[in-house]
Amino acid sequence: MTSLLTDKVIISGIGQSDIGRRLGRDALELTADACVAAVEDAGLTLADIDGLTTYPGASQAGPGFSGASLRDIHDALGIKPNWVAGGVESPGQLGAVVDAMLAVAGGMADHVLCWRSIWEGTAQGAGRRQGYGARGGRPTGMMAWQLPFGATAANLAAMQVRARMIRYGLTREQLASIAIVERANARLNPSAIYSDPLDLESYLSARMVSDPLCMYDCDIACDGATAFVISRVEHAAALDHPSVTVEALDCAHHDRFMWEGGEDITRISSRWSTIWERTDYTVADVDYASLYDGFSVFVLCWLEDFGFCKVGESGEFIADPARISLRGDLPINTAGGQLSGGRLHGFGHLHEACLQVRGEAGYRQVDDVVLAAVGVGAANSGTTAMLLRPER
Amino acid sequence: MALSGRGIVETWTVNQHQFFPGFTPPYVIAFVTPVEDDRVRVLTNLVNVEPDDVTAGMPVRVTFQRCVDGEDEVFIPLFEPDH
Repeated sequence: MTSLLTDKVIISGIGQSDIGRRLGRDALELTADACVAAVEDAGLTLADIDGLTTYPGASQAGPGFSGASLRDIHDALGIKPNWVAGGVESPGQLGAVVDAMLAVAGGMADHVLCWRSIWEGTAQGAGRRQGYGARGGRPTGMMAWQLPFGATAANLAAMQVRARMIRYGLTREQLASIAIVERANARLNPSAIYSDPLDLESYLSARMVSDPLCMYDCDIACDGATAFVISRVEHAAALDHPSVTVEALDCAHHDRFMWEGGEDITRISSRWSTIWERTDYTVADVDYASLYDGFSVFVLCWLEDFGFCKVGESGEFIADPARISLRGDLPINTAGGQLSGGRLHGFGHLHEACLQVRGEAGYRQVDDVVLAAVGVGAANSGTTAMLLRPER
Repeated sequence: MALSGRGIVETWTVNQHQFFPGFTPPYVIAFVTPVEDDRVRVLTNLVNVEPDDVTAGMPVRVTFQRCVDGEDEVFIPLFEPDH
């Protein structure tokens, strides 16, 4: 059994711009760098691209949240696409990649360029992130029920940590493994934002952002863009590197689009993943996992959602950081994740999984990757899970 | 459904970072479940309580804070211990 997409589409190209805390470079330029790199990696020219998808598109969210819209890249690169889709209303950030895959599988395009560009490092550095009252008037929508209470994403993630402590006995010592392992991985990634060593003692004595969530549990705003090319499977023969096969996809958006909207706030989604019903592989076959880490606790949710461990046991599962380390049973987020690598907003997770599947991750390469799992999305933003593997 | 204003604390956090002008840390942010319907979750602040004294399942009751911004007047539902 394989996904309907498995025999139809591949990830043919990947590309990334410079990544930095505050590069001070134009966001469109960074986005174009990533897009051109992905197209060249796919062995194509811009004239071959006949589809464009992106997340979040021309968003109204905070400064720098969207580095370049679909129309910006359409104009800047002179693409003449038949199929376009860009927007924030999606099953998590990777919904834009799924859109690209569906467009190719459905015959709407042969080569779709898909990107996520973010510029929060520079945009927020120019002035503090806008908060309550900064734009005047009553906050609306989701913010109407957060800002009057001084609540941000970090506070909501902190309450998820606390709920896991209450229900499952999670400890800070266990949670620390995520930040510590990702920092060790980041030291092997020249593009990572943070590469100073981090140990348990430093973690436990770190500044609290929102007790029990400390600064090392929070990802870091950055500037950077990541791009992919999704092609028809026939293009695999033209590549000068291994192609990435899409073994299975699983998307969900069952919960209300609010941080507190999940039926069970200890989970990533109120619907358990159905991805293992869509493949003959099993969870035991996964050699590498990219798990979304906007906050460290989301990794715990994804470990349970994929079934790497039983519900409520993710804390014990990672208690010994060796298990999820580069040479452990289940290496995760080998580029450093978003905690140490920067908030590339899920696209960095997919990029690293592609490198691992292609055997191109350099010093942080996991041996003989047969199956890679990618889980992106958090706190009821909708989720997308992928299983990727080398072409057989 | 009419609500009595009573609930229990599902989970909470003690915010330690100055995110917004006018919100000076530390302050407690919590999810409170109304006693009438445990499917509902209210994001709120806990007041009139020391952060270290908050516990899971703690009974709380609503107290409204009047906020005025120009001609706009709102009453924000906060919660305090229900002894």
